[in-house]
Amino acid sequence: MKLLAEVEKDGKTFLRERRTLILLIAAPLIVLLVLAGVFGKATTEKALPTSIGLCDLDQSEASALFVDSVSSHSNIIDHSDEENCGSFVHSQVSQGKLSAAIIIPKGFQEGIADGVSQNMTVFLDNSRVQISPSVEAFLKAAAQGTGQEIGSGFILSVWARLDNASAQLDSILVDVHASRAKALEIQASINETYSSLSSLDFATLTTQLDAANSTLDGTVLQLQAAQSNLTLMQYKMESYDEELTQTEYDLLRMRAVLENASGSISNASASIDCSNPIFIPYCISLASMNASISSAISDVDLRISKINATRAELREINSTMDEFRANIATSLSETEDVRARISNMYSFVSSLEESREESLSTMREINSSAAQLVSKSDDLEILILSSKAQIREITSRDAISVIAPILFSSQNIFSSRTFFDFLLPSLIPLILMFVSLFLASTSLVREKNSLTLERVYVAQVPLWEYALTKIASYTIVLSPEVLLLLLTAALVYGAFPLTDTPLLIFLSVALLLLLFAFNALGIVIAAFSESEATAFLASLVIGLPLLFMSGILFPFEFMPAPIVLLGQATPLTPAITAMQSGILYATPNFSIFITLIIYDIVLAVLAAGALYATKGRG
Amino acid sequence: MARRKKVELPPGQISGQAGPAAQPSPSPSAPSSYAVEALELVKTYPGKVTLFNFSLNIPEGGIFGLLGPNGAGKSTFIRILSGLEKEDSGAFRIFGQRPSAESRRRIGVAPQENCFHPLLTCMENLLYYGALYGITGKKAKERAQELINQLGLADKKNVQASFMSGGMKRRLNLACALMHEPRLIILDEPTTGLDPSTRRQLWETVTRIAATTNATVILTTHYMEEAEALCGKIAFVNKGQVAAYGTPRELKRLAGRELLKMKSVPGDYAKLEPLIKKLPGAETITVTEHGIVVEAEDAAALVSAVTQIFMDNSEKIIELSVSRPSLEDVFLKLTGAQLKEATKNEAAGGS
Repeated sequence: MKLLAEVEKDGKTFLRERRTLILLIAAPLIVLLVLAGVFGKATTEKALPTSIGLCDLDQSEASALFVDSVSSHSNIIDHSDEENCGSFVHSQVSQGKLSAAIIIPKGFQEGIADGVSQNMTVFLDNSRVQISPSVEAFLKAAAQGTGQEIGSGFILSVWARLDNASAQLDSILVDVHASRAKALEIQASINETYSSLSSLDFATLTTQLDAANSTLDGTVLQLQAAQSNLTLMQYKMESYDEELTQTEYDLLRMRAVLENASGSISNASASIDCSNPIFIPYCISLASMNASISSAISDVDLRISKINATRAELREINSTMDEFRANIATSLSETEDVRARISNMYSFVSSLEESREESLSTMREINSSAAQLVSKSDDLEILILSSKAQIREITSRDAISVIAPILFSSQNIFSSRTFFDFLLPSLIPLILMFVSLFLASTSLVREKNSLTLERVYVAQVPLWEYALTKIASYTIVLSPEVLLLLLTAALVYGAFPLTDTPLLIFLSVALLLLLFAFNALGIVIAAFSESEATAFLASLVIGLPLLFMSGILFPFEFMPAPIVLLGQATPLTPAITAMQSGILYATPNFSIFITLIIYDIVLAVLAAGALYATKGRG
Repeated sequence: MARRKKVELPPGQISGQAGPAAQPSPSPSAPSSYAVEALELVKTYPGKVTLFNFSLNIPEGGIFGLLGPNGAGKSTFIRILSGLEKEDSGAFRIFGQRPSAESRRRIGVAPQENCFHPLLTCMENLLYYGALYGITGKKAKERAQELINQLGLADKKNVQASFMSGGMKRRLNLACALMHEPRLIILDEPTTGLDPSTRRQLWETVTRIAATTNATVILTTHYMEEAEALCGKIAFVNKGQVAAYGTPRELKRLAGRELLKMKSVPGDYAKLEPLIKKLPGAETITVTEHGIVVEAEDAAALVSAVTQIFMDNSEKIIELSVSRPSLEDVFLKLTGAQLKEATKNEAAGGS
């Protein structure tokens, strides 16, 4: 089968059919024209302000600051006066009346002042897929800006507090110096006291106490001897008193005997008449006897009186001895007291010695502490000076540099380009994809339905040869389309310099390889399609997902991983990459050709297989 | 998918009996004189058996007719021959060769529908289809011009096919099939949808082609007169099988003898019947209330004698007709249904 015949036939067929001509020439140019109008805005231009609802429940300076920041980029519609304005703005966003809505909570300013991060609720209409990220981004930027402003105020107040703290550190430094001096003084004083305490002689004191104790023992012994002597004397005096008592008793008995004798004499004289001189001698003898008895009685009375006097003296002596004994007992008691005191003195001296050791230890510790205090004071002084230096270093910084240490200074590499310029490298392969899919699939279906394809089968043309010829034919027929689009891109939209022949060749080859792939896919579609409408729809069904998966409308970064893999596994994506590398980045990536050629081979095999599988149908 | 049954076909010999009329069976040693030999071909589609033990020998040269209603299996047989379909079982040969790309490239098919590119001119279409067979350049142009002249398309040489009349389109359709000078030309209902005049013109063209080339023409049609007028031999195809095979005359014999029908007044046929029966050639006599029917091999030859008997018996002839069996009658006899009705029914069923 001759490729030339197929090309001639397809070329003439397409040229003689208005629909095809329109599809081939007018439609792509119209698409380019329309899209150039739609996406003709420069990327550096700002977008039109979006409508953002506001529900400010705080009505504070901080909230006003944020709202001012937002309103510079958007059209703020304040719904704060609405009852339950949070729900109201939410409903407005969900009904598509607002692009977004912000709810500033009550206590917003207070919370910030208290150092609590405030959470503002933002409702985003994410159905507006192109606007939503921008709105979110600039709301975040506004929140960041407001946060910076509030934060810088806070930082400045912190700086002032730090300066104040630095001043306070000066006074602390003075105190530290004073403390250090005091510590040195204490150290000196303790050293003096230590040496004084160290000089105390507790052995002498103990010896003296031992001597006193010994003296006291002697005294006690003497007192106890005196007490024994007194006891003995009192015993003797009691014996003597008993003897006197016995004597007195005896004298009293004697006196009684004498009285009895006197009485008996008196009775006898009274019974004798002494007037009678017979009895006068007698009576004189009686009378003399009586007088002797009376004298004896008087003598006995005298003696008794003497005995009584002696006894009285003895009692007095005894009493004196009792007093003496009492005095001795008192003295003995006092000696015990003295002994206790001496013992106390011993304890005291002992405890005093212990206290001195403790005191000395304490003094050593105090001395060490004082030394440490001095050392610490030195350290503290260094620390204070260092802190002051750090505070100086901190407070010397710009508050904004602390809040936002990294400032964003973006620079658009392609500043003068429009969205369309960026879209154009993707649009050309996209247009060619749809054109080739539609053209190849519908044309072949038409050939199938008009049974002209059967003539090819009857002619026993090998199906692989026919598939390859057909794909090549459609590719050649569509090659002017490639040239037309590239010329339009270069001349009308200035996408690349037309004089750059290597680039022009690179772009043409990339697009021809793309055409080959989608012509093959179109043949696969045609093989399984009953009518042109089915082929058209099938091309759409295949083409549209490829469009969405190619990264033209949605960046790959937004897609789930499996879809990204799928998107990158289509011939459209490498063709777009190739176009972008050539037109946008002016660094043609020739290695993409390998990928495209692989797709071409695979799809050509599929096309032949599809023709083979559907040959007998109908 | 139906399991293919391998059937071996000895070269130049067909072993099957295709229908009521015996098919020629060349001796095994004789070289094949058949353009097509098909043996027990079976082709089924889901829920439908299109060919069932289809056996047929088509002799080389001349025009061979394949008759049958729509859906009888004619087109399926042709599609199998031309390689568009694969048989489920059975075997066939093309000019004594097993079916292959090479043997099939000897076939030229003019499908029932016009199969050419309507936006191309006559010449362009012919050059394109020539290219499919490797005929290019000067040779292709000469062959195309020859066909254009031969088929009366000279005036339309550079006219887009879509602007041509129905008849011209059919000619172009035929020309496309002839571009590579095939040995076997298959014309699938070439006159369907054409007016009688155009149809006649196309018959002439087909006859001329068959006469001027040594090609074998297989003509499928459900027009009996077309088959009778063009075909040397005919095979009746019905329900996927060859129902009858032979020359038109042979086939018509299958339908019965010629009939002489006469009606008279007063119509005392009982008296006439024995007299007519005595006539030589009169084979069967049937009397009905509508008249008398004489069955004979040559009914026309009996007309004068029978008329004389009627007149001798004072019978006034009010109706006389001689009817010969047509291929339609053959079909009627074979299938029990009118071919046109069957075609209509099949078409209705198909639609």
